[in-house]
Amino acid sequence: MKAGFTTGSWSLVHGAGMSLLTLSSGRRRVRAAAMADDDLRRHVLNRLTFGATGEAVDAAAVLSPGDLVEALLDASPRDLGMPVMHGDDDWSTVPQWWFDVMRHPGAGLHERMVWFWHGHLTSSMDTSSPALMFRQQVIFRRHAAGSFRDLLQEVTVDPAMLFWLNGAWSTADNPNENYARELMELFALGRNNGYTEDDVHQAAVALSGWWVDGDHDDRVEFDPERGPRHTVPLFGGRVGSAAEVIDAVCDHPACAPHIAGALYRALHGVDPADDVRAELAAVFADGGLQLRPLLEATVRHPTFLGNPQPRPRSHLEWYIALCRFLRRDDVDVWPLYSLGQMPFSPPNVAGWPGNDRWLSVGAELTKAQLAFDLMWDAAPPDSDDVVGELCWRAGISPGPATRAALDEAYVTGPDEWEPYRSVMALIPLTPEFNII
Amino acid sequence: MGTRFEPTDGPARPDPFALPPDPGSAVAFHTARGVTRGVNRRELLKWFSAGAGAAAVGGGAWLAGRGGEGASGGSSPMGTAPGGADGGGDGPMATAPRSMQVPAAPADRLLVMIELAGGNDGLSMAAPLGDGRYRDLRPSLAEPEGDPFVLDAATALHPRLARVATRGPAVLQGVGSLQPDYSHFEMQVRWWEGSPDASRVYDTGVLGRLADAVGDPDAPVVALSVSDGAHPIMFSRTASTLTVPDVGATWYLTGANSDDVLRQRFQRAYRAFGADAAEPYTARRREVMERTVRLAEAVGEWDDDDHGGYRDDRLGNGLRMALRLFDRGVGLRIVHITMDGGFDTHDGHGWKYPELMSALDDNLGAFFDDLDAAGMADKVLVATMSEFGRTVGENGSGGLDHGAAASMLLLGPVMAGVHGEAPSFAGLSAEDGLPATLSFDHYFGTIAERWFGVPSSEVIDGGTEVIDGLFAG
Repeated sequence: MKAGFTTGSWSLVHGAGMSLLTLSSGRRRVRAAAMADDDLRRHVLNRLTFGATGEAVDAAAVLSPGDLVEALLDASPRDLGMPVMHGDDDWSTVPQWWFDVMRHPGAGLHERMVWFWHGHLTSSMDTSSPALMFRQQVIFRRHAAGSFRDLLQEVTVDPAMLFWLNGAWSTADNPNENYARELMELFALGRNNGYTEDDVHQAAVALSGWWVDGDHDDRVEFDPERGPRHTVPLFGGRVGSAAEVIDAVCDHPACAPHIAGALYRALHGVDPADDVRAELAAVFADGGLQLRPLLEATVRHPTFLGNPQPRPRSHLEWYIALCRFLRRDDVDVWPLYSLGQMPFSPPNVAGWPGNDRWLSVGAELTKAQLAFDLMWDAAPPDSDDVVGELCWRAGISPGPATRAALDEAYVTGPDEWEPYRSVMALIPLTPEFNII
Repeated sequence: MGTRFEPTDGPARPDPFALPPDPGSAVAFHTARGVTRGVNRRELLKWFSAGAGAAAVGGGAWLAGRGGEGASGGSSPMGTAPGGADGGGDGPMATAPRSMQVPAAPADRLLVMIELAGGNDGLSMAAPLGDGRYRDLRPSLAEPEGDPFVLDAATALHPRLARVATRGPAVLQGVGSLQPDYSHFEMQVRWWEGSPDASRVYDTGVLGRLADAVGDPDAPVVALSVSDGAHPIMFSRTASTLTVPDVGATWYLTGANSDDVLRQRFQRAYRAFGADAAEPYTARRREVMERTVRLAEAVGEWDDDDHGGYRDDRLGNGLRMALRLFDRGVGLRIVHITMDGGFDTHDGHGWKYPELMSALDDNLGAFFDDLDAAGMADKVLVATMSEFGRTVGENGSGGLDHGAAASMLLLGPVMAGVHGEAPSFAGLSAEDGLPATLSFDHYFGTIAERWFGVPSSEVIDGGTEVIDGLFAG
């Protein structure tokens, strides 16, 4: 085995707080009697972690799907090291570090939330730097399931965000409206959802005066000379600082439904029905915009296990699943750039568009190439049922048509063909691997 | 080279375009038709209007070609009107001919958009003739080595664009943002979205919207970008658009011979996946997979050793792929190719830029020869884009920093010559970029409306004004 995950790395899942069974080679072929529950556990793992694998599905088999949700809610974040950068021109270390964190079998719901916030409260290393993106991510890690208000307060005056949406060096006399607009349209309220153009302008005035001191470790500073000199009207009240703008936005009636809808969509894969959104928004608002109660209500909602909705795997999820399936822990993050979902480099302020947009001719070409190329260094199967073993590794339960196509591709032939290889390259392109 | 230039009204600098000392020597000059003619010194002097003469008397102000007596006067050896056919008449210089190419019907028209990534210096690509201010601002870079190709009284193509010059090129001047930014990232995003002042944020790309407007929604690929990553300019609503980094991307899905058992099995099973799909996303992906296979089969086998006159670079390979796919009926209407790696000439512009132009010229020359051979020359418009131009003056490193507007080059069934409002250097200092005379959303709007025959509002919210007279027919 050249570069497989060891049982040792899998055991980090235990460190994440889940009480799962220790694996043994005999254990992995045990199939739970109730396939429906197996499918549900797979669904839970696909939605609340970075994807099901055979090991994870087997390890979770002792828990009911509902208990698995609770176990993932209870899991503590992994204790992560810091990325060590190599000079100012090092554009690889930080994205590779985060990719490796997400790819790790122990990456759970907390990491999933960090990824969610990156796609919701976007910024990009293209307008800042990998180091500043890491600094921003520390905010996401601290508040991933904490107070939304604190999260928004901190990210508003974070250097990567100040660069991304032109908050840095915006002055009260000539304010840049970019952050104010996206704060309302995308981050907190929703497009045309209870605010006016004048609200955008006034908020921009109150948000002005901040700058980033490049001579002192990109320290964020506030310059009273350039900031608001008096209060301005916003949503019918008055605000005179960035902090007061964020408070006003958080107190706006559209805020709780907007965040509740975004989180539901991220975890369930579909938009909530209006009454479900209202129900979750009420939980969020009643809890003082604490994210933990919202998160619990979202994943415990009856629709989560009662009506699972398949959706396309995002490119990040797909690539992580590919690496796990091939048991390779030495892969490079940059193919995600070709796929169009490079961490720390969202395509625009709205983040990555979901679902339909993941299905494209360009993605198929790139996926075929990646699966075929990365397969060569993968660990060979060690079972007589090669197709079954490889599907298990991939965390999929193939339908009859997929299974037949894979069986046909696995035609025992001369050894030099290593016929398992075509199956290995094919599984990442199956419907079951791509629509989860 | 390399001393920092300080703008001054003082004595003129030595003329970098200085003539050979022998009064009788003939200098090879090209016309825009590619006819090379001998020009003697006297004719050349007249040609460049007051050029060297004015400099010699210390005025420092070259007479501008426009309105300059030498250039536009009757005694000028060259024609003045962009379309003024001068096919072997009196003067030694001929201007660009009107396009001889009648374009195909709008429904058959195709676009190749070449993105000169990094910020192309439009002034080097299509240089102002006889503008003293320009020459003052660029003491070492205003006149590159070689003989330029005259487009009109005031404008000449870069000396390395010999094959382009034979194709009746059009130059559209002053294209950019009326409220420019000087960051690559910011301006690239604006160009890709089609939003010159960033006031309108799109979640689709400008060529993606064009593909939605002109493409068959069932085609495997309506718009293709040959670039790194998933190019945002391709993001569309309904049309299939994609980005591939190189021509080898389809090798995995087609063309396995009987010896290649592994790839054969891979390709056979790939075609079988999802055929029984009932779940909507799986069914949708199945459609995408079928298109993918159709595209791969259209691209077919690729000979990596024979480049057929193209360079073995991204532009050359992208143009070869475009030609093949245009020819094979997969519904492709738009190709976008990123020509990267060098237009950001903060230093060494004098030696870097000619090489970029040679690469452009070699590849476009081969492409148009192939289009002729395939009988497709009436269908394809080649156009350029770039996030910004460069400063009008040179910096202390023999380079040019980020500027604003720039000329765009168009080839195909276009009206040859110079279009749009000429840039003015009046009041500009070395650190300035050229101000835009045409907002670039109008450039896209014009291509949509006048080339593809769809309303500009399909591509740019609210629609744009269009430039008349750019295309033949």
